[in-house]
Amino acid sequence: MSTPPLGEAWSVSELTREIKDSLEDRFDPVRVEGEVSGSKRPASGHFYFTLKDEGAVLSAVMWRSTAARMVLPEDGERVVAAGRITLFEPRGQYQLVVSALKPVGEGDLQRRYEELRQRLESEGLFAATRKRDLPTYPRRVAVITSSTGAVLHDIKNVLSRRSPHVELLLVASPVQGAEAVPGLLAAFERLSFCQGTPFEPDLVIVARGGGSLEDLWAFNDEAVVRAAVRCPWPVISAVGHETDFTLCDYAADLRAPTPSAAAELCAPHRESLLEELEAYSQRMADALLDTLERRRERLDQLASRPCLKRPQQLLERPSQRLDWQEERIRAASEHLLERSRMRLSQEVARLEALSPLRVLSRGFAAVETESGKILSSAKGLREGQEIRIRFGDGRVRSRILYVEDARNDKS
Amino acid sequence: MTSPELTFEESMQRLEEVVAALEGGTLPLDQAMESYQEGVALVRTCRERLSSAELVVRRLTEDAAGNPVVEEER
Repeated sequence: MSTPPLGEAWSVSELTREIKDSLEDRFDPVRVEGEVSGSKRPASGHFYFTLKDEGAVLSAVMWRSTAARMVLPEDGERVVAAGRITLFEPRGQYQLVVSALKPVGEGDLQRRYEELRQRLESEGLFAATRKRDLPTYPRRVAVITSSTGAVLHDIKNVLSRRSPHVELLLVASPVQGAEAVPGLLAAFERLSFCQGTPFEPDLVIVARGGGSLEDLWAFNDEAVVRAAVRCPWPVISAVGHETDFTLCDYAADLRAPTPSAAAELCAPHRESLLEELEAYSQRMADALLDTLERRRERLDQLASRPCLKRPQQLLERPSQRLDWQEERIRAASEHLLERSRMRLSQEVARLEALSPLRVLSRGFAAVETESGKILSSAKGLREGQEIRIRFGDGRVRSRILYVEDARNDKS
Repeated sequence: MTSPELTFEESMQRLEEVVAALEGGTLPLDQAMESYQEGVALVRTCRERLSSAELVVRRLTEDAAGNPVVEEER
């Protein structure tokens, strides 16, 4: 540094240039710790704030390209900022240009995460009863992720290989840094316009590759979590690696361990669908053949029935029946006749047995008076009286010679 | 017969019904034939839908006015 001669003066520009050179030389790189305040982020995307402690303040800026990759601090937060000092000549002001920034105290993000998780959980946002079923056969899958990078590539690959019949609707959004939260919110918003259009998805995958808690921070943002909950279609969250759990994962209807896994889970394998269709075809053909076979068997069975096989029987049988009836009637009447005949001859026999003529024919004879009156006692008969003796085959007239005492007969 | 409006999912559901009815074995023969034809048509349209060889990728963005637009991606 040259000292100007006495009487001569620096121009403001010269001096400022000198100061700028020495400051920027001296404080690059630099690390400074302080409390964030007065932060603002205008449309340009640059992030302006001041760092302060008890005794001083320091202007700081984070250019857009850096801010977009960062979790931006909130006012009041203590941070360590790394960067360099620059001097802005037109205003004669110096500032810290921040290239990296992290909260003081390792647990700060972790604490914010935990607080929000508990609050949202107590609200019921993560409840299992809230989880929706994924569609069995999705036609269109919306994917919210960065349009650059491995994640989209992986998802496309898996779908191309397994389920090319599914359509992928990419909703690009930054997934890291300060741009991520507004980007993700805009993506959900844009998707909601698809309702009822031909581009309506059946489910939504929110995906991002692995990273630090800070890298994944946008997926722990309350507004993003609520947007996922409000999403009209089931959401699969695939953020970070298998061991990373973001609040978005908790809020989603399904958490996939990786973006590739999400692509596998979201739709059935084409081959398995084709197999399923093949099985249906087979079952239908079998069932129809079976139906036809059973009909045919039934037909055969019917055709072999005697009435169809020998229709003359239809006539034969009634006529046979008629014959049989006739026979029965004839037999019955004959029987009746026979019985009458038998009864008659029995009666005749009985009558004959009682006939006195029959008695006479067995060697007895009846004695009658002259007038033909049967004499059944010797009493009253006299010697010389004429009597008639009647035999079975004729009569004789006779005269009584002697009357013995009837009672002496027994001696 | 098969409405072209059926989604894949609806087609699969209908197919399941058709197969169950056929397997029930109680359909009159003409209805069984009709169901079979419907099922075959359903299988064919489902197969056609699975036949697209290449994954279609579309991109949902916004136009200058901030309205959502869908672009084909090649």
